[in-house]
Amino acid sequence: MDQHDPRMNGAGSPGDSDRILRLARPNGGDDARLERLSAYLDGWTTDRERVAVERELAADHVAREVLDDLRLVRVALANLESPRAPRSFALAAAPARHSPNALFRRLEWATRGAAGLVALAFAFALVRAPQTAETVTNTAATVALESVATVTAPVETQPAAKARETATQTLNVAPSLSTTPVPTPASEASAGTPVPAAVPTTPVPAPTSAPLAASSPASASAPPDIAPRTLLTPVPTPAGTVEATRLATVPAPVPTVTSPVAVATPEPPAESASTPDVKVAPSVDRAVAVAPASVPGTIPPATASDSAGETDVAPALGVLTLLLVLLATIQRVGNRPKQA
Amino acid sequence: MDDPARPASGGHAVPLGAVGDHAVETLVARAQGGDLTAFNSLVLRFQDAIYGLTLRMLGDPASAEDVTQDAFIRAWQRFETFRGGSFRSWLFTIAANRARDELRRRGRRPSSSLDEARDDPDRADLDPADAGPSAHDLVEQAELRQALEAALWTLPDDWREVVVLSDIQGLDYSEVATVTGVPVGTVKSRLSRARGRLREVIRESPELSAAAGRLMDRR
Repeated sequence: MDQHDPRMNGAGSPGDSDRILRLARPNGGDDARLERLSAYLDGWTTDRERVAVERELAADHVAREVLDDLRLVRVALANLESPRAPRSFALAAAPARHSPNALFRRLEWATRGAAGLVALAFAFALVRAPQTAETVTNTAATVALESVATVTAPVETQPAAKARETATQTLNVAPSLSTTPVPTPASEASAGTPVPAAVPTTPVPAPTSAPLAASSPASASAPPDIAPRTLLTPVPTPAGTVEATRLATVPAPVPTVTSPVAVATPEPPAESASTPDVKVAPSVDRAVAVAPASVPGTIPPATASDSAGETDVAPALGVLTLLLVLLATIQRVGNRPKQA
Repeated sequence: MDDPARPASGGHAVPLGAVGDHAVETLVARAQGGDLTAFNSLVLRFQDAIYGLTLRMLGDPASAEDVTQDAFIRAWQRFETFRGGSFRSWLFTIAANRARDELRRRGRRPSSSLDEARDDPDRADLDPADAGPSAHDLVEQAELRQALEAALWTLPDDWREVVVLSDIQGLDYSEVATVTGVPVGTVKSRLSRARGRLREVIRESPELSAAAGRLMDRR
């Protein structure tokens, strides 16, 4: 066949024609070279590719033959003129035009806005409660230590006379707030319930301010480093420590509440070592518990239960954000004008 | 022998509706404003090209006619989706998409070819008049065209679409990529393979090779 091809005269041996055919045959081995030559023919090569192809053409007559054949095919195809339309396709009347639905566009923007708001809420929830309830429990002592510092600082600004006046009441009032089953009238009136039951009374501002005034100035009347000891002297024993730790893990009380007990227990004054811990530990806990509620500058009264609630909300907000973003994306794709 | 880089439309007349065609741009602007007369002017200007594309994609004159009409109706209805650029490419995109839809609907390859259409006396316009050449040349060129048309139908649909858009309709690679919705690299690959297949057809017949050679010399 190749011997009869007039254009193969001078192309070299029959082996060359086989090579030329192989170059032009799809799946024949050198598709990349064929593609380069075809793109070069159309001027769709980069400068680097063009230089490489021209170098190849200058060195290889087979490449030149293939390029000539490709050019010939292109010219022959261009000679296949487009058939005429059998009739006029002009429109006799204007069909109704499609316009993107404004309602859907508004819905898309509304969804985007909602997604943004929920995302902000999600981020806020994460910032507010980055820790899980378990983490809060484990770090309760550390947080409480900070709270003690914040509590004692403003307490020192209280008038010294009032602090002195209430200092003595602290030791008297504290047992009355005790949640232990000590049958005192005060405990029956205000906090004579088990520990979990006493928890809801903690955030109430009115009753907590008085114990705060009673307890905090007590520490203010003494040197700052001694004040917590004064409060915590009734809780020197290991039993008190255990109680304090237990209360810290209870989801209801403020984590900062029980921590002073745990912090202070390693340094109990010697004279208070014999104090019954069972009666005192809850009362100290109670007295300090009210501090964050009324003293400005203290840490937010985020309880373990609050933290748990936020960590429950955060995943839901995250999922809702993702859903809204997905919905907005779907709407955007649906509203995108299509060319055909 | 060395062929310098040529424009993609080399060998073709300046394509209708290419970017910069002021008359087309004016008509497009008027049609976008709702001027049906201007739109119909565009229809008359491009209907041969659109019909040729759909006919070569579908192989069935009746289907090509339906798809062409539908493409123009869609173009009017969705004119606001035209965001500038080549109006011709946009129109080809609509028509090619409709033709592909039709091919998918059929679920098979076209049932007829341009050869069948050419046998129809009413379809004699598929062989454009070629004034000048001798009777022998005319016969030779007709044979070459027939061979190429037949070879086109041996190509896969996506190869054929690319080679029709590029080498028959005169679109450049980027326009073909836009119309077909594939990257330029894919256009290059498909086009080179299609040309390679067609080249084999020509080379297998000495007569066709000679006719193609003379066609080259004339151009």
